[in-house]
Amino acid sequence: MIARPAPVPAVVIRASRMSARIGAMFGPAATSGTVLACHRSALTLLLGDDLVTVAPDAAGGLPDGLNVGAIFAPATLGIRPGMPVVADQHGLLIGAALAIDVTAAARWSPVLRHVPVAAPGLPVRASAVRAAVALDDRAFGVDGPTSSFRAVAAPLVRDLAAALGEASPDTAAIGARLIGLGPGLTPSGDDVLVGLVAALFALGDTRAAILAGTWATCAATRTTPVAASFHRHAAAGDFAERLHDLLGAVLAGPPERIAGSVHRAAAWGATSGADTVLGVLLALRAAATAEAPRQMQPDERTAA
Amino acid sequence: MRSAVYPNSYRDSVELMGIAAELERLPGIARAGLVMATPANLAVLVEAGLADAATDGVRPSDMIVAVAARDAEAATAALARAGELLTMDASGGGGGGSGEGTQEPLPSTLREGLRQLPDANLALISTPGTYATAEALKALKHGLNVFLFSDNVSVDDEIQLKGLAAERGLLVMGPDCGTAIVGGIPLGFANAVRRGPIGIAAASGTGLQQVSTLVHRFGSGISHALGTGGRDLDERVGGSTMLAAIRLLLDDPSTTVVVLISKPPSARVTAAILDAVRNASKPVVVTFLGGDSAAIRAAGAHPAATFEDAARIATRFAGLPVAALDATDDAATDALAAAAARRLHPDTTVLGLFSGGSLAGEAKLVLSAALGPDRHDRIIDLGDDEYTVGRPHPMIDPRLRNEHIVAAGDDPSVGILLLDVVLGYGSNADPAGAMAPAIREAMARAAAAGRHLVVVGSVVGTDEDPQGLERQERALEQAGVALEASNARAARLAAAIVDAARSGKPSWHGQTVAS
Repeated sequence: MIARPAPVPAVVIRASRMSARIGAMFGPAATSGTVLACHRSALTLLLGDDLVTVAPDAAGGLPDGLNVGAIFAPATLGIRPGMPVVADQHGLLIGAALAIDVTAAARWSPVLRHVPVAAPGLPVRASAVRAAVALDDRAFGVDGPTSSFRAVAAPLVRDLAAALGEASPDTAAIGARLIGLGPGLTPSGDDVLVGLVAALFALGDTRAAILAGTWATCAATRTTPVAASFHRHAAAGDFAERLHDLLGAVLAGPPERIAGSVHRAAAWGATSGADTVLGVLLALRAAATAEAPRQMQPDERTAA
Repeated sequence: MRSAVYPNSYRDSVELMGIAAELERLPGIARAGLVMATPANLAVLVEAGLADAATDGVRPSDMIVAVAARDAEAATAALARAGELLTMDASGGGGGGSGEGTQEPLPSTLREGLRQLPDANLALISTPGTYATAEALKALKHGLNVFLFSDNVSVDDEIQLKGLAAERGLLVMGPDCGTAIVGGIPLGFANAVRRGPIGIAAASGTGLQQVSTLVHRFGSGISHALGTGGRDLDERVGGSTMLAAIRLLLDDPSTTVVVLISKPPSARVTAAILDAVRNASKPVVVTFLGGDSAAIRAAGAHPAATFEDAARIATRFAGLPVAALDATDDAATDALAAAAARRLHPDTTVLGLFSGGSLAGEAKLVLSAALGPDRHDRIIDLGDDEYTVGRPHPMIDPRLRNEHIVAAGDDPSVGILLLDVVLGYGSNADPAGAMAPAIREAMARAAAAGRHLVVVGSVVGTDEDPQGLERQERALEQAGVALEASNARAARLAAAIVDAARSGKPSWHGQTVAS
């Protein structure tokens, strides 16, 4: 139990799991902050210069996050944006409404490791992702005024795909044009870039850290605080557990289950999932194209 | 064109899209958008004429609401409405305020809810299964009937809940109950149907929907449609809710005809149900799909082989003439199917891709009765658990079914694709629109391979449903679907096409079609 001076919070809950990245926040020296956003089933807190997300278990591990059980409805607890937050060695105290005890929370590592590509190989796997994405075309939104964003984003995405495939030195600059672009609290363009670098990290592509770092620097002033935080974590190789699962399934899982994994991932949020999957696909196609010439016989390469 | 900026405003994407959609439905509004005010988004909004360039001082953490309207008055009204929606939500106001919000928190416990609504007599419970039993017990102990949408409730818990409900004269609809209509109020996946004298008790969600919508289309209406949950007629549960629902409907003064719907229960449960309706004071129509008609007649009830038959018989008992189901263009459908039969090889098979389990079951029965055994037709219920783990039900999200539809175009053994499209509250906002591209793609793939693919279907719904029956049927017909007015008719059409193809003698509805 958390020992607190009066007033006693109305509700005390336990965190089931916590990102290893935010563990340092819960030390003897208290950190203060505020509630940045209160969503239907999640909280975004600003503590010092860092964002912390509080979400139910179903959201999976988050690089900046705490998971707090099956059901979490912060608005019904009277939590509102702007409420004061204190973090200390016991956990979080949010106004007088909620205390979250982190002392028994399991630690989860958001670091995305290299995933060896299993048979039948990357070209086939990339094709399966592409086929599934074609049936789930919600990246950058599909309706109403967000169609303006699709019209703007389409050539930028094509340019980025080409630059990636050619290992162009302009890839970072081209990708940076997507930062802050699109609908959503995390704009679509940012989700695409985070999905892309996640896939590059999983593939062991040495460009991953460089691109992620560049985009994180740009994002600091050109996108929302939440999206900028995702870019910062991506630059450190940290990603949401959903992305770990998606990349594990796409690169090494049974090929016949790729489509299902893609559809499930694409269902996150309104367009975040579809945008993230699009980024993963861009990376996979570039890698698959790069791999194809290596599979040719020496005389075929000469002939080409 | 007008815009408004909400500083430091963070709303999730689903919420923002919903607000934008509502603004676009306002009179005089051509376009509306709610996006974060990043430099990239501002440039797009200015280019699209949804914001002017004078957005100095806005930051990426701000949200911009932009509308393009017929006139200034419409734009002002839309922005005012946006402001209401943004402050109305329980997440809090649009601004980064002091946190001292004036809005009272929503009740977070049943007790708090009852303080706000002391006359409530029903609790709708939709929590993860782990918590559902406890919440249902609380509700029953407070004297509430329960609509238990949650699944993953153990059979022992279900028995406990229904035992307590029986002691207290209450009803537990569920667990895993997706559909009901109580006093004209739709719960879960239900359709907008006229109120009337026909009561339904169903262990079948889409069966309930098919019967209730056909009753509406035949000209009658529904008093109550009570769901029992998928496992109620299991031997261990014994039909507890079905029996309670029968008693309720027989005692209900607004109900003059009772319809029972399920798959065939075990012999013991069937006997208990038929005993409950034996010598009933009201006509009882029983659809136990594939069940024993003789036993039903012996109990003094009226067997119906299909959901359409049940709706038709119940409407007649309600004393109303049965309106013709003529929403589809029968002549065009007949011509399409007859021509199609000539272009299919004799060994062609039917692939049924269903969102409703009971509709799939009915189709399977109809096909089997018409075509006999030893066939390779496949009828797949895509709402089954194996397809819905980790993803929405196909009535909400058509993507998985679309994938299967497209794949059917590549399958040389499939000549007929059989589909159900279910409208109503909770279903996809435009299922026909969402499926049409996949249907066209499948047909195109078959054609490219030198084959023909016939798509046959039916729409479960009414014109009062949010999606609009006529609009949905038109979209499917434009995609090339041969539509029938009920699921049973669609299955019969599919069977007739197969029969014509394999016999080489096209015949239609008993009439020979000149080849």
